This record gives sequence, structure tokens and C-alpha cells, in this order.
Amino acid sequence: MKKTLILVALVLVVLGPPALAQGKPTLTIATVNNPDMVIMQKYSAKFTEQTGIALDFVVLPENELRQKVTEDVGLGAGKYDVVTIGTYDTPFWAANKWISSLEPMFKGMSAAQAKAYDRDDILPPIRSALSANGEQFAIPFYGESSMLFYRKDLFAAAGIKMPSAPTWDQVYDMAKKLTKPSAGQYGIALRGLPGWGQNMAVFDTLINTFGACWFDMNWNPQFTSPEMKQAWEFYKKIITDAGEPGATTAGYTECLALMSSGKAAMWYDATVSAGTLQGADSKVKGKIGYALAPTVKKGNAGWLWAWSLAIEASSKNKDAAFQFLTWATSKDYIKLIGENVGWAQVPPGTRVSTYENPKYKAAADFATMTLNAIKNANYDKPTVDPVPYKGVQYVSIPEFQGLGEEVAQELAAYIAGSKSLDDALAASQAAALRVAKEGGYLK
Amino acid sequence: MKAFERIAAVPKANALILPAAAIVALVTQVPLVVTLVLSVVKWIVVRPDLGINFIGLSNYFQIFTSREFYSVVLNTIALTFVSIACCTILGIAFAHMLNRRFPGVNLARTIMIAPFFVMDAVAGIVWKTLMLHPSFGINGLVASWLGVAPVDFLGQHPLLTVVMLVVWQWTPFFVLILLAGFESISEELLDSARVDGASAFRTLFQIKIPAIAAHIEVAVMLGLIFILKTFGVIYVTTAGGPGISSTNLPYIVYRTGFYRWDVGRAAAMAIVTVILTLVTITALFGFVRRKTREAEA
Repeated sequence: MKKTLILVALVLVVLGPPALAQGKPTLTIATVNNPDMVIMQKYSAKFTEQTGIALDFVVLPENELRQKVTEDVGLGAGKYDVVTIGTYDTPFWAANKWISSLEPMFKGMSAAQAKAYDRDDILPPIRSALSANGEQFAIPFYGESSMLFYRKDLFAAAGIKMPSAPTWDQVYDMAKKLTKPSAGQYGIALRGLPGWGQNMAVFDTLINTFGACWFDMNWNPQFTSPEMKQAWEFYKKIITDAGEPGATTAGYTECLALMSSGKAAMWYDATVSAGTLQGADSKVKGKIGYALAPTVKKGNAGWLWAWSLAIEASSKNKDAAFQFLTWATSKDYIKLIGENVGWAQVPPGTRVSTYENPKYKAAADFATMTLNAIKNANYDKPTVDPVPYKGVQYVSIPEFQGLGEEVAQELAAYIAGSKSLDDALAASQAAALRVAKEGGYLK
Repeated sequence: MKAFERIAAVPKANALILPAAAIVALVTQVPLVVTLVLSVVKWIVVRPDLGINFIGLSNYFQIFTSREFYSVVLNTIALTFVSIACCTILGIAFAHMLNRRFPGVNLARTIMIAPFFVMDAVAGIVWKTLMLHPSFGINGLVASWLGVAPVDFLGQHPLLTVVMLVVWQWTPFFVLILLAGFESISEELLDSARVDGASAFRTLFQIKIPAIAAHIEVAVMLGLIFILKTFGVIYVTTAGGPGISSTNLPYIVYRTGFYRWDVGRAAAMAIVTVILTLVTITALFGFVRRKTREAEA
């Protein structure tokens, strides 16, 4: 009898924890270290309280996140259950069968669950960008376009008026006037850190509005066009004359820090940053004004992006993962953050109801501007001339990760002065040509 | 039959080496063979629709016909040899200074070797953000005190900055080895030099440094092996840029494999890197060995 008890105890010790945990799995979630995701991680204990499902977060900077999750799905490691991906990744990840369609899971919801979740409340442009062949593969956690932030107090002191839809030339003039290096004040903060999700995100909107493009309709690279050259020259000029020093080490996080610490008079970046700039620990709270993405030839220059949650096809915990997805993107989650962190900090750009909420509208003076920027973003026709790809701040092909990275490095080399414009453009043209040929796009 | 007899003649105890040999082969040779196989295929991870295709030596051909590759090789040579030269000179200087008795010598030695125990990535991030950043770092603070524009170390002088960080991190390693060398020099030898009226300068260059030639050889060889594969510092500070101005061979392999997702090309680059590294180490080893013998003679 004693031996039997010892044996049972041993079996329980060895097999106990997994056996007890059956039905209540631990989800491994790969996510980006942006402020909204950090808030989600902080409040995720509520989800575990409600469901008993434990969460293990892997939080990484944007560039590293992309590598880790692509490596995970592409090489079949299957380490993560839930991955944070963007509108760029979703279509080809779906085509590669790396993530699961959410349609069967949505269909499996009870009527009460479906009503509470209210899937039709998700903003149509974002939902469309996260779908492939009519099936939704990811749910937006927050959506964004890009806009220009400016310091109302500094503008008033300098007697400058910001137009609601400025041109890049106007932005340059204003930035020059507001640059005071001796006071540690820069006219504008712009991303210069190399990376397709870093400097290229901002710079791509300049490429488009200057009338340039990456490829023509036959997939011939277009880095030698006069418009492309003008865009490169302008970006270097504005950063050199009125931007932050050491621009090639300034990514999203550094630019956000420059703006929120009061060192920059303007910042052109993601609309989602408005919540952080109006947060309690921001030095510029209440001093920020908003304007549409600056333009040159093409209007509606702002990008369209949504950091979204998807379920890896290899996940063994799909039901639990779907529960987490629908919790983190629900109206209840938005209410939870609004009431506990502040209505200005709720994840923006995902639900129509957020923009109808009087509490959000009262707290977030940027709400209307954000909604308009997202609705107006030209995701399907991003350039002046027709192009064979979609996406404003990227080219919707899988190879863009590598190509965008190479061009981003060339841009940084040009800005830093270690490469001439012609050399940088020639290298970018060669990289784009190689991708077009090797990927089978150029016939 | 003769072969069988030869095998039978081998002492049976030698068979005990087989498990260890198998483990060594598994962890060192299997990855090499896999990398060799991958280097002759075209495999773009993000395009599974294109499949994995045998393309012979095309990956190698593309590497050797690319200007980018030669720039990266030059960066690697510059980074490695300048770092090793600086580490050796500074290592001799600091080890010589610490090879004497003075109050707090142990504390001074501990402080001296501390950078060697800081992880690459941590050292890189601290230097990048807290020290060198033109807006948030000490660099910006000092520049504002002096009323000048801050130096953009990572943007304007990326390779030099990486060299500086590598030297900061690896000099203590050289000091550790060379200090042991200085301590092993016999007092009689130094006394003889003093009796003969040799100056401190002459004693250092004609007695002490030749006496620690074997220690210098060890420090340089180990330093070469470790500094050739510098990765973490580059990854967190410059990401190989701007452009490819601070990209070395290990980083280009990573960039090809994990940005372009071109597994075949990355594998071919890895093989070329291994070959170049072995050739360099063998050549340098021969050179240092010759110089050591000359010094000892």
C-alpha cells in the first residue's frame, strides 16, 4: 500500500502540473514594445483572472519582433501562440498558411458573445487590410495613420500659424524658424534610424507625395526618377537643417522621447502617439496641436497601419488564443483602459464606437483628426502614378522586409554623409532590381 | 584482412573515446555539413511558394562578384586588426602600470577588468544611449556645456565607434593575460638590468616585453578569435550602418539570413567567413610565432 502511494505521488509530481493545467494552457504572446502594448501587458492579469489562462509575454522592439516572429513561422519553430503583426504581414502570412483564419472561430461564437464583441464595429479600412480572400486573419489592436504634431505654445510664441493641411515646403520653413540648437530645441523630429519599419515608414510617405514610387506597373525599379531624387534630397535637407542631431540613431521611440520631453517643435509620425503625448507623464500635455500628413504633389499622404493580433497556424491553443484576441480587442478592454489609465490612452483607430464615445471625444482632442487620417489613407492607390502594389509606407511583397532594410540603410548612409545621393540611389535601384527579378515579378 | 588486423591491434580502451568523439562531431561537424548543403540551394523563407531549389555554386559566385562583400571584408579586417593593435598597446601599458605594489592595487585591478564582464548588448546599449547619444547622452550634455554641436559618433564615425567599444571591452582581457606575464618575470633579471644601468624605458622594451612575448602571443590569438566574430555591439549600436559602413562578416551573414531571409546566400557567406577566418588565424599565428621566437632568441 505504501509503495502504491509513493508511486502515485511520484506520478503526480512528474505529470501533475501539466495534467492539472490541461484546459487552462499558457499562451505565449510575441508583441512589440510600443506604449499601448505595454499597457495591454500590464492589464492582462485581468484576462487571466477571468479565464484562468496564463499569459507569457515576449516584448521586443519593432525590428527584432519582425525577425523573431518571421523566423518562428517561416522555419516552423511554433514557439508563439499569438503574434503581433501588421497590415503588411497579414496578407502574405495568410497566403503562406502561417496564421489561422479567424472565420471559423468567429462563427463558433455564441449569439451573445458575437453581439458583445460586435465585429462590424471594427473600422472597415483596417479590417479590409487584415483580410485575404474575404477571410479575416488578424484583429487590430490599434490602428493608425500618420500626422504632424506641433507645439502650439512654441508656434504662438514665434507668431507662426500651422495650416490644417501643410505642404512639406511649409513644414521646412516652420521647422527652420523654430530650430534653436543652443536651447536644445529642434524644429522637427523625424525618424532616421535604418529599418523598413523605422525611417522607411516615414520616408515612404514622402516618396509617394513627391510623385515617386518603388516600381512601375511592369515592376521596373524607379529609384532613378527625378521625383525620387527630390524626395531624398528634401529628407536630408530638412533633417540636417532643422532635425535632431544624430538622426540615424533616432527611431520611433527616440523621436517620441524628443517630442514628449519638449525638445522638438514638430514631429511627423504615427497618429497613435497622440495618446502618449497627452499622457500624465508627458511634459507637453495640453500643448500639442495636430495637422494632416504634409503633402507635395499627392494629397492624403498619411499611411495606414494596424498592429494586430493573429494566431499562429502551429498553435496548439487556438481556442484560448482566440479568447485572448477577442478580449484584448473588445469594447470592454477599451473601457477598462479608459477608466483605469485614461480615455486618451485607449487603443485608437480600431472601432467606430470609440470615436462615438463622448468620454473619448472629450479626452482625446486628436480623435477626429485620427479618424479622418485613417479613413482618407490611400492604401490601395498610394502613389501619383499607378503601381502594381498596395500599401502606403511599404510595398506589399514578402521581399520588402529585406529590400526596405537595404534602402533604409542607403538612406541613412546618405543622411549621415557617408554616401553620395547618386551612389545611394544606384545601390537602391540595384537592390530593387534584384528583388524584382529573383521574386519573379519582373517579366 | 590487414585493415582488420590493424583495427584489432588498437587497444580496446581507446573505444572509450567514441562517445566524446561522437558528441564533438555532432555539435561541430553536423552544423558545418548542414551549412554546406544549404549554401548550394536557393531558399527564401518568406517565399515558400518558390520552394527550395539546388543552384550549385551560384550563391558563391554572387558573393564573390558583389562589391558589397569586399567592403564588408575590408571592414572586418579594419575592425579586427585596429582593435587588436589598440588592445595590445593599451593592455601592455595598463598591465605594466598595475604590476606594482601601491595602496588600492587590488581595487584598481578589479575596476580595470570590469568592462570585460559586461555583456556585449548591455555595453552597446549603455554606450549608445547614455554616453554617445547627441540628445540624451553625456555627449549632448558636454557639447551643450562647451557650446558646440554634439559629435554624431554612430552616424558619422560608425566603424571607429565600434572599434572604440570593442577596445573598451577587450583591453581588460589583454591586461589580465599580460599582467600574469609581467608578474612571472624573475626579479633577478630585472635586478641585473638595474645593475647594468638600464633605464626604465629600455628595461620595458628590451627586457620586459621580450620576456612576455609568449603571453602577448596568447592574448593576440585569443583576441583575434573573439574580435573577428564581433556581433552584439554592432547589432545594438549601428545595425551595421549607415549603409554597410560598420558591417562585418558575421553581421552580413545575419543580415542576409534574417532580413532578406535568403538562407542559401547566408549559408554560403557563413562558409566563406569560416574559411577566411581560418586562413587569417593560421597566417597570423605563424607570424606571431616567428616574432616570438625572434624575441626569445
